[in-house]
Amino acid sequence: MIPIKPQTNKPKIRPPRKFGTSNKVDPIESWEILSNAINDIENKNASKWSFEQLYRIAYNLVLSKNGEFLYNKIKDEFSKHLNTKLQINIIDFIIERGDNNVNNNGIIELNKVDSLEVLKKLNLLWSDYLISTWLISQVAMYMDRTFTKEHRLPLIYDVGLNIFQDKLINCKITENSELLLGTQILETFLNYFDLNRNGEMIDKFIIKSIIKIFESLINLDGDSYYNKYFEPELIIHSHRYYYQIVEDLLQLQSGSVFINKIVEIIKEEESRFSLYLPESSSRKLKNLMFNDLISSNLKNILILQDDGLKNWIDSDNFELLEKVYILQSKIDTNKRILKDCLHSLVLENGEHLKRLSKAQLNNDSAAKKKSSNKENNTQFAINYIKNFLDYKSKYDKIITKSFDSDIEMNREIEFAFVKFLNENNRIQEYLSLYIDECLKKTLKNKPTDEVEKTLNDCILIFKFIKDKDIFEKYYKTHLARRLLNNRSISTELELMMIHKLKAETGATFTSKFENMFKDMKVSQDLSQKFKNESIDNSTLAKDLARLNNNKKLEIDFTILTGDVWPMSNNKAMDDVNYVPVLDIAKASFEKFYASTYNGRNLVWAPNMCTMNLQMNFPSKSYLINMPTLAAFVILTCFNDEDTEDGEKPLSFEEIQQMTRIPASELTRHLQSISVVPTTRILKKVPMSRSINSGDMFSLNLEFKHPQTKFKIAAISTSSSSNKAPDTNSNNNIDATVANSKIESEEEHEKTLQSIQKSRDHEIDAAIVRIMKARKSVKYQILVSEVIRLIEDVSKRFRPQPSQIKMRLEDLVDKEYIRRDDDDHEVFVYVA
Amino acid sequence: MSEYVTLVANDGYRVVVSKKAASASGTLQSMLSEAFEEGVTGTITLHELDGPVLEKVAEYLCYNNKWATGGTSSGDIPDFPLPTAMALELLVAADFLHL
Repeated sequence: MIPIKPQTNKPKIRPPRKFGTSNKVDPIESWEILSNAINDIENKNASKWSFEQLYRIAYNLVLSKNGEFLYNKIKDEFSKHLNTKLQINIIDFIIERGDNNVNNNGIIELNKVDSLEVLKKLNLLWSDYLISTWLISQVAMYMDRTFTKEHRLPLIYDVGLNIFQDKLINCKITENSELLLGTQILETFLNYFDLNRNGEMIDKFIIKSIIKIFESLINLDGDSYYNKYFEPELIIHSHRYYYQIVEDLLQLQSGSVFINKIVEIIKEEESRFSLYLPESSSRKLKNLMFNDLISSNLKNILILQDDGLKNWIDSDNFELLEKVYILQSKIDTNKRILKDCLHSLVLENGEHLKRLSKAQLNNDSAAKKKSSNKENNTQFAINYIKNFLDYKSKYDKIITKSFDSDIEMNREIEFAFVKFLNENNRIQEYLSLYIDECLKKTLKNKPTDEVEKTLNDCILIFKFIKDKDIFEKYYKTHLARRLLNNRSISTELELMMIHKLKAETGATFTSKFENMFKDMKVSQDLSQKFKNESIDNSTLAKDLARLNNNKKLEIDFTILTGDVWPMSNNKAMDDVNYVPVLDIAKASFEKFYASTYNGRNLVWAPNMCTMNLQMNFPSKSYLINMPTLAAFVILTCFNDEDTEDGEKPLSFEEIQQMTRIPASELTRHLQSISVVPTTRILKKVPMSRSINSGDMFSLNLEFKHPQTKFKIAAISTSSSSNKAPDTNSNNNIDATVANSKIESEEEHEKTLQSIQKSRDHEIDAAIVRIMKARKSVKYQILVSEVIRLIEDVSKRFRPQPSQIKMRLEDLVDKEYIRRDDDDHEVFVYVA
Repeated sequence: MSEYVTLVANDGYRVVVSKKAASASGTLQSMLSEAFEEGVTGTITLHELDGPVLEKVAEYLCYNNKWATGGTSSGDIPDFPLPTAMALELLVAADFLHL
């Protein structure tokens, strides 16, 4: 509105004419007219009335101080009008159609058509009422502007709406019943709404309109009828509906049916909510629905034995698993229930894994001939790892296909994997055996990507296992066997594996492995060089040839660096009598080596070697590869012309005296050439399975073998005798045993002891390293630092504080460190 | 539907204004609602107003219609000439018309 600027130069102002045709306004008479007009407006018949006239009457009433009179009169009129309308249009209809069909809650039950009719009537009544109330409020606008405002009363339009709400809440259907109109309407509405939930078509428009009415009815405190009356009823109804669904579904005891049905219902309900309900209400109902349908049941459903999570995972039901994942995500962003179920399922799988691997074994060995217990156990270990990898890839697939590649889910599953893998105290050995198998057989002639995948799988398990130092120990042993027996598919593959291990744990972990390869390479070069030289040196070559029946002697030397390889010197080997030709070769190589590497000391280990021996039996000649010590026995004792082609029997003691091979070694080699049926080169009297002192041996001239070239494997120490293995071979591996097998309990125990010992050294080293750097450290800090260094940095094992304490005390005794004089908790480095 | 409305004063004075201009008055706007006689006939009889006042009111409605929607800054808007003698009568009329 533009302000009107008064003109100041004309002082005289005409007084306004007195308003109203007469000064006296008769309120009764005026209301008479207005009341008639209002009735016509309410009956949509207002066009015969002049708005100006009605407005003027109301205006004059207000001016003549009859505002309050008018206000109350209009209010009464609204109320009276509604009473009539509701009675005629709705209540009478309900009573007539309901036909006294009253349910337990005193609500009149109506059929679908009648319900819709009631709702339609209500909607029509409402929209008419809105229009008439609006028009009336326009007529009485002057009152609203002045009287209503001055007395801080609600505008007459709002009064109208409020009366409607009041009627809906408080109006009784019949005089003598407790049933209120509002309750009846709500029930009718909700029952009609429920028809849709049960799959019937309903009038969407009327549902929307009625909800809109409920939302529009706001009482004087600002609460809407929707929030105060409708929503609570809706929630109760919905809860009942969900409860019924769940109850029906649970009776079926089928998880898949449950999940599928619930997903369907949730989808329907959500579209219903978004179509009909305001946002805030939608949220509440969704929460209720998720709680009733998912939260209360998910766990019980997932743990169903026959048709639950276990079954779905077993049968790769990705679709259903995805549904489960989505349902779980709806109620909990942490997905705790699903995670917990998966966790325990994976652990259960761990148990199953053992049984499965065992069962496969039985199937295999039933087909094959009965193999030794140890071989079975080795195969079990390999199966175990193989099966684990299958499980792992199964879960990987589930995570990508069903769990939206959820990192958290993956972590939870891996967590469970780590747990059950490490509960198996032989897992490090299993893994190393599996890798052994791969590098010896499985990966032969496989395409690069498959090789890559297999190696990565190995690394994956490697990541999962704790106590990696134990793995290192086994890997070293198995690797040594592969290298010394030339059993690897290729050096390239071996190096790939080591490279991957290195990438995972750092260079220190694999340095010994790498040094083993270096030794092999250096040895090859040296052997070649020695051969060339011995050809040049004619006397040596002549000597060797003469002593070897004028045939060329081929020797390969393998020089192993002492602390790199897993086996240690066997002092007793120094006494062994070499056959003459090897004695010369040995002496000349020693000379050659001393000239190449001045000052290095060679210790011979014939117990780790094999020899190719040509044996001429009456029937046939054979080229036999056998352990060098076994060959010594034959060459020394049974190769002399004087013994009439070795037919003269020799006793165990005699053989031992002639060869000077230690008893335990001799026993097992004799066993391999005189007891094992297929390779019985020597006859033994008596014919028993074990070798005893006093047994007599002679050459078996009737010996026959299907192949002209074959190999005699050494029998491993523990199975060769029932005697307790001598402590000397404690740290010893038998390189002549070509196949790595799983350790027996005794061997395993010993390995653990040696691990414990090397752990002591590692802890010592860590303590000294820290002390050297810090000079003085508090006990607690020192312990945690040692753990950090060994577990996190070197990734080897987790040292126990008690073990660290023991090492500390030991180091104090040895005076590498001492306790501080003032503070006993502090250790000081002694330079 | 006509875009104009005829306003009639109690002395028979008639003036035609556009409905748009008339709706500056809350009262006039309501009267134009189709539910009532005025909405149908397009003629509003204002029994409370005499000719000169209605003329001035109509003049103001046009003035307001012209400038209120102009959107120009207030400096450009000319003053509305207001006879001092009618000031009080106009005030009452404005109240009635909700101007």
